[in-house]
Amino acid sequence: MEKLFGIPMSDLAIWLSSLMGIILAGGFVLGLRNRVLVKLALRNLPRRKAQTVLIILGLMLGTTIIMAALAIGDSINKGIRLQVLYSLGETDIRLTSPVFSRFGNNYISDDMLDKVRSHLKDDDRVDGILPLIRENMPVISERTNRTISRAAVVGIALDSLNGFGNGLIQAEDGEELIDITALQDGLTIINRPMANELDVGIGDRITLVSTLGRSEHEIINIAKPVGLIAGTESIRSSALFNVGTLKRILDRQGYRMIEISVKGDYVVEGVTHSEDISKAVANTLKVALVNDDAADTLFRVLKTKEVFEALKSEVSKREADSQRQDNENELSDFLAELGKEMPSDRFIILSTDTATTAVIMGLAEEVEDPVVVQSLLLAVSELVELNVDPIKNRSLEFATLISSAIVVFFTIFGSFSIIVGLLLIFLVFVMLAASRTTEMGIARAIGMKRRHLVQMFTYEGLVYSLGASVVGTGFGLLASMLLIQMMIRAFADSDEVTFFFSVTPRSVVVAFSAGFVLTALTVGVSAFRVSKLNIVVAIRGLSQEFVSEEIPSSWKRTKTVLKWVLGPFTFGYDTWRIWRSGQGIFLRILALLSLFLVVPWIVTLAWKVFKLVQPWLASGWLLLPVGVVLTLGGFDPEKGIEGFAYDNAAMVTIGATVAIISLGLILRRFIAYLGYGEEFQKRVSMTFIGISLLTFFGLPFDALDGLTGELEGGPELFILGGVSLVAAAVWIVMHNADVLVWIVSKTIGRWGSLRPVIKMAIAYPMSARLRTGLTLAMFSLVIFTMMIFAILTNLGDVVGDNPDMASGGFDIRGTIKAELPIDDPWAVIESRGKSLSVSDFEVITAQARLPVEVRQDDAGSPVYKRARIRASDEAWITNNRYQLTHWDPLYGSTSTEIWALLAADPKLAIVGAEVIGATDNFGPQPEGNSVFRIEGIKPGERGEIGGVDITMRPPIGQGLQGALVKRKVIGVLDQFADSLENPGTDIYMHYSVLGDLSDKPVPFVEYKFRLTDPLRAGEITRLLETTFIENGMRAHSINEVIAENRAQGDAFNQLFQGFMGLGLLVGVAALGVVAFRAVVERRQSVGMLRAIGYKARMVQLQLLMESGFVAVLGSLLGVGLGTLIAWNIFKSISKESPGMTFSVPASNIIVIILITLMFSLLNTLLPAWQASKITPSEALRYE
Amino acid sequence: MFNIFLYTAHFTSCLSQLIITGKMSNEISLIAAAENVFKTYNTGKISVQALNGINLNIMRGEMVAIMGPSGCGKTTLLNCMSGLDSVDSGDVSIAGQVLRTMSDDSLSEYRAKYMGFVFQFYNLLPVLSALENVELPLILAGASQKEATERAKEKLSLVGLGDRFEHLPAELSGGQQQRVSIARSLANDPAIVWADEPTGNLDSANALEIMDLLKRLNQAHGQTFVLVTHSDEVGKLADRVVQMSDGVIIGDGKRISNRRLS
Repeated sequence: MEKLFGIPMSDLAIWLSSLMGIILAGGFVLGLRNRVLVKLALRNLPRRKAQTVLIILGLMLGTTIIMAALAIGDSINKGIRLQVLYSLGETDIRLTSPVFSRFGNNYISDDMLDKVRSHLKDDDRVDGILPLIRENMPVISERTNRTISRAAVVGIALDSLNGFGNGLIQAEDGEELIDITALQDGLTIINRPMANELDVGIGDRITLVSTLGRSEHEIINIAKPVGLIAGTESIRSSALFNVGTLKRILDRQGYRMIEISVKGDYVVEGVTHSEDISKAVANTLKVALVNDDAADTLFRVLKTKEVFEALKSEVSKREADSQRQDNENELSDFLAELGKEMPSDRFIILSTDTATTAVIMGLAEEVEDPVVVQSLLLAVSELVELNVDPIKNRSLEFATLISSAIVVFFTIFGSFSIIVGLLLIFLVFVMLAASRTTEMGIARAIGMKRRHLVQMFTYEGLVYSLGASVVGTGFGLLASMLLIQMMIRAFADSDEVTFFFSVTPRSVVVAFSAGFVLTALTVGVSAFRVSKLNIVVAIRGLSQEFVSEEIPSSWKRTKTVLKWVLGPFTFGYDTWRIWRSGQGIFLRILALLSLFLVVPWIVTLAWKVFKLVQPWLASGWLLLPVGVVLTLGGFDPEKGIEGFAYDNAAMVTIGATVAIISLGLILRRFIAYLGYGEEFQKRVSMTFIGISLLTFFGLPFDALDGLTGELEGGPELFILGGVSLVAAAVWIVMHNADVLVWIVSKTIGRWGSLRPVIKMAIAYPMSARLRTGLTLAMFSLVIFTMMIFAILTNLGDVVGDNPDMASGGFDIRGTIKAELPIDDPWAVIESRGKSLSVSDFEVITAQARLPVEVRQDDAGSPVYKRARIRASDEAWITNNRYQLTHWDPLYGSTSTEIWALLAADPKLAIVGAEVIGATDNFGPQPEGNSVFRIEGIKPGERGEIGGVDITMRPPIGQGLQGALVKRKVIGVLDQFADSLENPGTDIYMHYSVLGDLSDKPVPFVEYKFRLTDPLRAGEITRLLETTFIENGMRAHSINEVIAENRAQGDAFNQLFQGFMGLGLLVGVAALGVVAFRAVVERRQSVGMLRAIGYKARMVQLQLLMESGFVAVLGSLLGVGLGTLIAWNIFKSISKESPGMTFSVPASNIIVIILITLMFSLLNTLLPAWQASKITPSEALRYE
Repeated sequence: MFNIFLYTAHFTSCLSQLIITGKMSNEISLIAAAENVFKTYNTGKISVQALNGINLNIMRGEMVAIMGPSGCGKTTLLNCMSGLDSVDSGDVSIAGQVLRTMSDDSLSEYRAKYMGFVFQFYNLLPVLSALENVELPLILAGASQKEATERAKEKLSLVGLGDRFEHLPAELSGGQQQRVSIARSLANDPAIVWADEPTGNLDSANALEIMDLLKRLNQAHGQTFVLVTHSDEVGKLADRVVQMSDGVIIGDGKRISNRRLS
């Protein structure tokens, strides 16, 4: 984890720990000056041990959640990183041929290898250059009769192993080493996964299947699947050969790739790596392996006025788009490089970057001069002699990206829990203050100052915060460990990722100090509140625990401000006088040093100015213009006032909130003016504010787009919106609680023996509204978050519920190697199938793939962009059951009719959902604007469309040059159709197109099977792999893939639900804390109730009902508001990706709520039981 | 079998009600009795013999003051006799019903219906208004809301708080709070009202007012009061003064006093 919300973690760690240091140091210095106060404050800790423990447990939950989120991120990061390091071993950079295999020789010649070697000969950063062949091939064990349709077969040059373990690889136990230089012709070393899959051991023989036939090899050792023999992410079985052996078997010259190992400055799992050296060497190679003539041509063409201007406008367009930050700097650099006389190294490095290439290719079409375009495209296609891929850096970056995304996801949802945790801290301190009211009132009465109370409270709070951070960090680690264990178990069967529990010290520092700082700040706010204590009110124990200060007159407030404004002048004058007066040097230095008090002066002055305007702010009218200005400032420039519209959703949200509050305050004034009582004023104005905010935050996300324009907003807005929504609802409830009380007492309050219990169970929460409101808010917020998550995960299950949508009604999907095509699958099954017969299959279909460049004929800019043709045989077209979301009514009104026409007319085409931009919002977005999109079809508006004419051509060097093929698109596929295969920008059409675009035969590589008995899919999948072993067929049961995806999704959801459960713990803990406090506070009342005839179980029931009241109300609010926001999210997603259905997973939610209620009641049970055990005489004895 | 218990319980309940309200016979006038009662408090380190063989009979309509120096066991005696606390040995009976044999629940019900309590610190529920505080024992005894409100208003008017129904305890003076507490103790027309230092927290004027009220209720309504006090002024108003010292009764004298405080 490198960044959190865009802030580098190292910076976070430094900032937060410094802040913690400042707070602690401040407390320490103040404490030294007032040791008595420290003593008074801290004596509470050992005296009330149970309370101290309870408070620390209450305070720690925020820290726990932060720690858990970070530790989960670290673990996932480590898991993926280790996977990368295991599979890449010593390889840092990989060089491959730029030639597309189907259209030329993609092997690197010996001359090119020599060139690379000579470039790096004297480079002491490089410690190894290894040419090798890496192919996926079918492997068979004749003895065990087992097959692997595709294994990663690696041939290495035995004389080039320096830097790559120097000829040694790890044996399967990871301890011993195997000497691979013994790999002579006819011998092989295989890895453990292959040994398992084929059920073979040392001394057995394996057979490789190639275009030239079969060849046998003896296994001389079995190795651990790391480094050279790690396999790939999807193909774990791997075998190592002498490169000469593979050259012979494959009848190839040269090498498939050259791998380079650089010297590293850190070692992970025995592998050295250095990001900087890797990058530097890769750049050296990029410069060395560029085609100088092509680079010159490119430089020259890009410098022509026309192209340069187009590039410039593209760069400024991208700069305006804030989401493209990463790429933008490189493009600006690129532009700057073009200003030079000659193509520099930097120019070459940048122009070989894939992102830059994509931009250049996109530009080419906008330039109208065909000669320029042709030379540009040619230059780009011939630019490099070898592709230089800093593969380890890239993979590790990707690992970091994934884990950061997961942590951000966790932190966004976790924020709600953290906020709940902070509310709990506040609540704990409110109650602590309440329990000490009398004590503090007396302390004030005998001469203690307000600031002494604040200090005492703060000292005590700081100790709690420190304790809570320690315990919270520990619990967070424990919780994440348990959750990761859950993940490990869920992914135990998967070969792809292995998770480890891992946490970096930096994360611990961040969680610890963030927890401490947040807790300490909340303590500060609570302490400030304590200072508002009114002595008389406190001593007499009146109902208002705290009363508001009397507001000084405007003149008095203005005088205070003036005094503070002028303060420094008198102060400066005094200092000057002391300095001049020739007093002792100590006093003079002190006077001078005191001038540094300027910062506290500014802060105090600002505070005094705020206090000056506060009463006017509170009356509302001053806030209204502030709110309106903020709102307008956030508008989209197109809709707002020119020059004063910053396209910021947060500004609009905050502005509108301020405006609504000010309107409420003005309304209150108005009602007061009409002569209504205070109760009425408060109720009407506060309800107005609550309902308005609830409406504002509950509106669909795009409801106000017509007014404000589409606004930019980040995840913080989601948190702000959620919290405000819940706060508004709680606000309304608490200001109209008497209505609820009336309803309850008129309904269940009528039941005889329950009546006194219900009366008391309502009276107490209603008399402590702040406390009840806080608890209610916490509870609602927790249920709200869980609710949103439960509904959203339910949305994602569309494929699981309708497998046909994704499978198209096929049971098995098989892919083969293009070099080993199948002539007629039916015939192969008939002749070769031992356990298979043609009657097992209802349908067998075939498809080929071909990359093309496409443009939409009637679009504004007729630019060719990348896409992929899925050329299908008639069987596929007529037998698939994929659904269309859009269709041209001229060709039919159902999906079946449209498919039938496609089979009959090769001039028609259907596009995948991605072509109209209907992709999953949460997934990675397709790269840049070089990918083909049809304009004019909106994903959200399903139904009839007009046919769209497109023109296709092969990419440079990959087909019949100059060929142009036209098609008419008459339908769009549902986004889930075919979604299990590697998705792309697909255009489906009749296979006859292949001949028009390619000068070489394009074989079918993808087969789909519909079985007569779908239940046998698992068994037939294995039989198909054996039957088509000569073609290297890899087959999957589609339903199994769906189930696996679902299981992994569920595992992640479970992990997340577990994490959210931590938040729930906070809510439940809050109820427990409130109940415990209630018992302590109400000892006497309970005694009195018992004296006048309350039974023990009535006392118990009353406390349980109090918690139940808050829990049920909180659950109702949470469920309602959560559903509302989930619906809004759904509406917003489904606009982009139709096909999702909204449903509330009722059983899931009932379980969540029941568990919550159960735990909160269980949590109250102990205090309630304690309360019921109070003997009346004992309780009444003490005042 | 179960029915037999039910009937017995019902019968006992009816019987005790008859006894307490005096409908059975005027001759039975013993309302509360303590017989050889012992009570020791163990604080862990030391044990305090709070009651040391107490024998005491309270008659219907009496106003009894239990007096003595601090720590002599007055409050303990009141707690034990009212069933707020248990005894170590000996028996306490109210209207012939022995408290030791009753379960916690039936004791609670018993208190709700037949006893009233007044405490030194009033012990009103701070979250309920004056009216609601008085209503509570009525609701507990099973009265309907309407009935409870009516009776509570009546009792509050009786103690002179007819204009303070909706006030919260914190909004009333000490004397007024104690009046609410007296109204609450009378809510169910109990057979006996136990008052623990009812004037202990009040100034002399308020104390006299409260005592006057209690005396009036005793004389006009025949309400039995047992007061714990160390105030001679209060003691003088009682029909009978029980003197205690170190957990034993050292004097029990009847006083004929018709003096009324105004």
